[in-house]
Amino acid sequence: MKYARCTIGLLMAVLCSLLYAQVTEEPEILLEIESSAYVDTGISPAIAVDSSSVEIDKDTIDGLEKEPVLKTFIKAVYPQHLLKNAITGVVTLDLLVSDSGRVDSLHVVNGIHPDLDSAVAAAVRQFVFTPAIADGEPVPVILTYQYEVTLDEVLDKVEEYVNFRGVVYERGTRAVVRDVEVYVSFIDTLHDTAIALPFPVYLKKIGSFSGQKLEQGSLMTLTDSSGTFEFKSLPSGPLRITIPAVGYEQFETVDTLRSGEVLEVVYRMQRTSYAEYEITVYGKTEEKEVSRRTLTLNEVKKIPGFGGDAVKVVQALPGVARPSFGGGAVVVRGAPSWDSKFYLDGVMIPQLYHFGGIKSTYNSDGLESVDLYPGGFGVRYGSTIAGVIELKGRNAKRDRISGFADVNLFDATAFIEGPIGKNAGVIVSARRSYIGDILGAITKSDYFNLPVSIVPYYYDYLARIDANVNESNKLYFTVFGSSDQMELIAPFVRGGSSDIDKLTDRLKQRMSFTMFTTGWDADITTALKNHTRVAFIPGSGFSSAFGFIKVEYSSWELSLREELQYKISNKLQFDIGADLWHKKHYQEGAFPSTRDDGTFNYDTMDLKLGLASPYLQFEIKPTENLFILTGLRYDYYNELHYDGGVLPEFWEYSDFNNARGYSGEPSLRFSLRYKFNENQTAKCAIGTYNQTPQPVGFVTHKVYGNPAHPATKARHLTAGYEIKFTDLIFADLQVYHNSQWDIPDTYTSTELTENNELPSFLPKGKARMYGLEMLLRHDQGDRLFGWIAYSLSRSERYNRETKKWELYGRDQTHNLQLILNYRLERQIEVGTRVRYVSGNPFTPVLGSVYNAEGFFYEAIRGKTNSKRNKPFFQVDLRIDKKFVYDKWMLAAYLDFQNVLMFLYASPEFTIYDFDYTDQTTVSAPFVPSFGLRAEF
Amino acid sequence: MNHYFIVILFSVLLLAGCGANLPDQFENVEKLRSLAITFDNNGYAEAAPGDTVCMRAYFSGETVRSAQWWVSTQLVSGIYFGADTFIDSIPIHELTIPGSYKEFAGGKTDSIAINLRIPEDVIRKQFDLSKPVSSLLPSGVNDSVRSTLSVLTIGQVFDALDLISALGTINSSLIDTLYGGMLNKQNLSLLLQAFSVKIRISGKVNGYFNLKTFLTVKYSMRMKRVGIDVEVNRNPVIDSVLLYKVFGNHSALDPESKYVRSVYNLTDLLADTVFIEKGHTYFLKAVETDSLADYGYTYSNATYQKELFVHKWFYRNEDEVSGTAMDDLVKIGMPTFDSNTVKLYPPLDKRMENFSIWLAVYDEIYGVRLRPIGFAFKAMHGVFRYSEEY
Repeated sequence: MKYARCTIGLLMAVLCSLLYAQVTEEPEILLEIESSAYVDTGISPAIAVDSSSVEIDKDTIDGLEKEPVLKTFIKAVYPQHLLKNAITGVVTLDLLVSDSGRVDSLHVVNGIHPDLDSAVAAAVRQFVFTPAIADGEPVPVILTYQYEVTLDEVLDKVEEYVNFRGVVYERGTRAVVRDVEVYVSFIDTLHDTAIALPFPVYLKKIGSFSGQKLEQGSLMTLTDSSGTFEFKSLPSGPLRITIPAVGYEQFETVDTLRSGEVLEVVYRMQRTSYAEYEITVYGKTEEKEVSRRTLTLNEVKKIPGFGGDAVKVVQALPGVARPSFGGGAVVVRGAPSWDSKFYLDGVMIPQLYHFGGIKSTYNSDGLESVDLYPGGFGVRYGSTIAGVIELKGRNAKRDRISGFADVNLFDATAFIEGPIGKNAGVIVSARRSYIGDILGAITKSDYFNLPVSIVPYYYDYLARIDANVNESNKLYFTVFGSSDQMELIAPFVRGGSSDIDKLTDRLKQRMSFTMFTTGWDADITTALKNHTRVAFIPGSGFSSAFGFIKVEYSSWELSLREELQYKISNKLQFDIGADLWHKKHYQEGAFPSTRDDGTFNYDTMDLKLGLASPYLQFEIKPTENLFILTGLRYDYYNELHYDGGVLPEFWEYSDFNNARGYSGEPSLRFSLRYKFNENQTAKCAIGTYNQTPQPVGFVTHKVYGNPAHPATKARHLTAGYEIKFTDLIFADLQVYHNSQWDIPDTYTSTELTENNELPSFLPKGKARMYGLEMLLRHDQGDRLFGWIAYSLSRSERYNRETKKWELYGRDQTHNLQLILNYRLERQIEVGTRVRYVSGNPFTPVLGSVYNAEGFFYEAIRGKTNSKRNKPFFQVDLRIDKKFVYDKWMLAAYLDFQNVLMFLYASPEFTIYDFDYTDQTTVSAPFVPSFGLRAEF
Repeated sequence: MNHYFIVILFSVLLLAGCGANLPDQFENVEKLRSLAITFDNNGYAEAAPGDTVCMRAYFSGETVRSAQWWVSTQLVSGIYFGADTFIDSIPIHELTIPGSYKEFAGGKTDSIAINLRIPEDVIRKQFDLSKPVSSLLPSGVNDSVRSTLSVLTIGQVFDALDLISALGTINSSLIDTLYGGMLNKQNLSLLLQAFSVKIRISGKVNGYFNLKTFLTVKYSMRMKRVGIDVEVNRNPVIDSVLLYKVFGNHSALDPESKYVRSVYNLTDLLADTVFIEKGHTYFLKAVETDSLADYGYTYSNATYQKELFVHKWFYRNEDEVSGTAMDDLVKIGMPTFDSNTVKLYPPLDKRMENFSIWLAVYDEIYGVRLRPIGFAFKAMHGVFRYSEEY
């Protein structure tokens, strides 16, 4: 027998020689042992196991033509008792391969463990090679074979199966927590005795399974879009689960996985702050309009003094006057409430606040944002000469069914929302007050035993369905209604006529409406978009006062708002649209004759109010830094009967007869924003505005009014500057000058003396308002948000009797407000609102005349609004605390209005004694209130 | 702690914001006050052009030392939000009967009486006589009257009214002949309302106290005098004012109650004595002659309504008692509008003995145009005496 000695490097060429450990009683454990062989033959040098990897030592093989090739590989069986030791390495053997290719003998040259060496040897003995060929003949050879012992093969056989799965929800809200990392670490690595491998090896192996990986001794996976996670092939035993996530407190728990079972869990994570549940931007100036200020909700609901009502927070913005007793008057830049318009999703809303301004009629929780345009706004809004407030309803959250029940001093609310199928959602809410019941209990209590009883209450309801018809079309349908009722019974009051009301000892009021709105937003192309809003609003109301006044009305409104936006290029977009509005108002009323003759005027009004207002607006961006918004609008008023203007009036044209058109007025508006850099922007606006003369219907009444009264007109001039100091701190400074003319005004005594036939209203009233507004705001940071709003303003009306400008009754020279909200630990937030406002002007009483017929004193008044109350200073505080439970949350708040009342009484108005010789100031009260809100 | 505590706490906190100094009570006469001004035209509260009426003004709180009076007869009316304005002012002596001006002072109540002669043209000069009368007619006038009168001017109607009143004694058949039976009680009442005017009497007492009142002038008195059945308002009469002393605590007076312990008939005699005891409730009750209640047609709806008597009570503690809280002195409760009784709270301070109570009663029907207001006035004085345990 010729012996050839050669060394053949098989390396990985034989793919890994494997040992199969065949243990009779024990389950087969698959372990991978890598092997390589070196052939050493003295007879035939040409021995190869794998031709591709054969290395022949030519010096030691004479005439070797063909190397032996391993034909039959037998895997060595890894000894069971050694698996825990995880010994790996290379066993080097010298093999004598006969000319038949069998291993005749072997010798362990270099071993790693006696038992492993033996196992390897036992397997190698069974190898079969192709014989080595030398000189054309099979020859025996001696070769060196290296058998690499690894565990890979065994690990490959580790079964991949899910034995731990769970869902992660947000604690309190039940919202799923998506895309967060879930870590599992193992407390007792020896617990699972079924794992024969060393634990780190096993862990490494299962860490390679799809969907999970090993990180610093822990397994990690991610929750999916439904908040679900799962782990595979975890060893049984106690597991420590850790879920760290931004915005949440780190979640940690220990669960035990039992062998052969699938552990299914639900974990609930606590947010670091539940106030962050919605992103909040407030008081932020939007880039297109010069003066728009947006309140997006949730955080603003925690500002003290507003009872959680986000719509009322506009009263804390610059440009809005402080209403008495926190009421609902919205005096924007020194103009009365009826000079401003209120919209819900682009449709005029009949009533913004419930009686007394306690709450807005639209539930704040159903809103996405509240926009305040104090002036200088574009042509998308018309029929108003002061400001605009637009409420934007929000779509339902579709991730789950959620809602809340809210109970506070004034009312109770139920609110629920959730998905309808995949592409739609619904919001339903209802609210009813019981403040009347509380007041009733007060007046009837033995302690007070007041001779009056008050029964006011309000309710409102909301249902909104939104749906994505497809990617380009979105629809919503809203039903929103409100009703206010109030009855004050005062038996001692000297009532009027039973002809007016059978019950002359009481004051009654009721006002109700329902608003059906449909909206359709369509992206026709990427450049062309269409927005349509249609609303139908039936309403009714009743009012009577002690047998002196009685008004009963019913009405319905139909409103259509259509807007087409076309983006021609990045530099030019135009919006073309129209507002169409029709209102039918039928009213029967009776009220005392102002001729003081003891009689009553009975009146029926059958009004057909209408508005047809097309507009065209251009958004021009000639450079990156310059943005121009300009447009033209025409407002036609169906209820007016006069020759309207053909040119927009920037002032009261006295030398030019502008009256040639229909009963309407054109408006031209222009605004410009120039961005000096990312942080500084200058802006200005000029525009003309008009509206039907107010109070609508009365001014143009065919008997008592002036049917030929023209529209009231206005001009707004605005300039401003915005500075962004940091990502969180922003300032907005604006100056404005507004003029109004053709305001309905009663005649002067001189005019009356000269002409006894004058109509009650003459279009001779004038107003001017000017001022400066500043907003310095701090966006929501980790803990703090708030703003400082300051308005310096003057609002005047022209007195034609005295031919002098006089202060408007709501003129407030200084209006400074500080809003701060600070988030503490443990879901506690504290907020404060500090106000300093100039006292309201009032007309002094100089003396009195006793009316012996009526047994009362009549005041002799001095110059209109020539005196002013002391400044108003008020500090409000609020504390919110949220208790978070697994599936719901309980929020509680305490709200203290006017906490410094005992130190400084902020005057609201002055009352006099019966003969006006003594007076006292009625001041804002201290109002503590509280509320509870359960959310799920 | 019961729920009332919470309600009360809440209320107190709310009310704490209101003014600390609530106004004095109107009914408490502490300074110069006009208690009532009445007009009397032989028992009636209204006057026709050319009539003489007696105006009586009652004062208390301060002795009347001087008084000036003016009369305004020229009214310019607004329509809707415009206020009525008198544009003339005539010194009253131009309209008074010489020697009729009297002042009565020296007691607890001062009064001034003036006999006023109403100018003949006071109605005519407040109307545009050339205008068609239809522009004035209220909706309550029936269509036949409306159509008949539509051809007439306001001046012509005045002429007709003057003609009727000049007849001396009514001849019903003549009136029917002249006016076709149109002038029934309702139509005539409404027509006379349409042609009513008011005049204003203004005064200044003691140089600083300004007051005014109004007198309606209409043709009703003339119609009445010639025998036409027409509504003319009479002044009410206060027969008596009774003070009921009722055992126990009561919120309303039941004159027939067994708990009534005493009934005092209050007069203006200073010697009237009321014995005050602990555990009793005191009520004042005005008694008027119900037969003097008149009726009227409302202007717009022509509903026929009975007048209501409205009571205005005044009082004063006559004794100067230092260091006494207001709540310890006599008070009168808040009356219900249509009630002729009111609760009297005797003084808690027994040093307060002498008191005055005044009652002004006026009649009222809302909806009757320029309805003359009938007045009655009564002054009462007395002394409280107290039981020892009070």
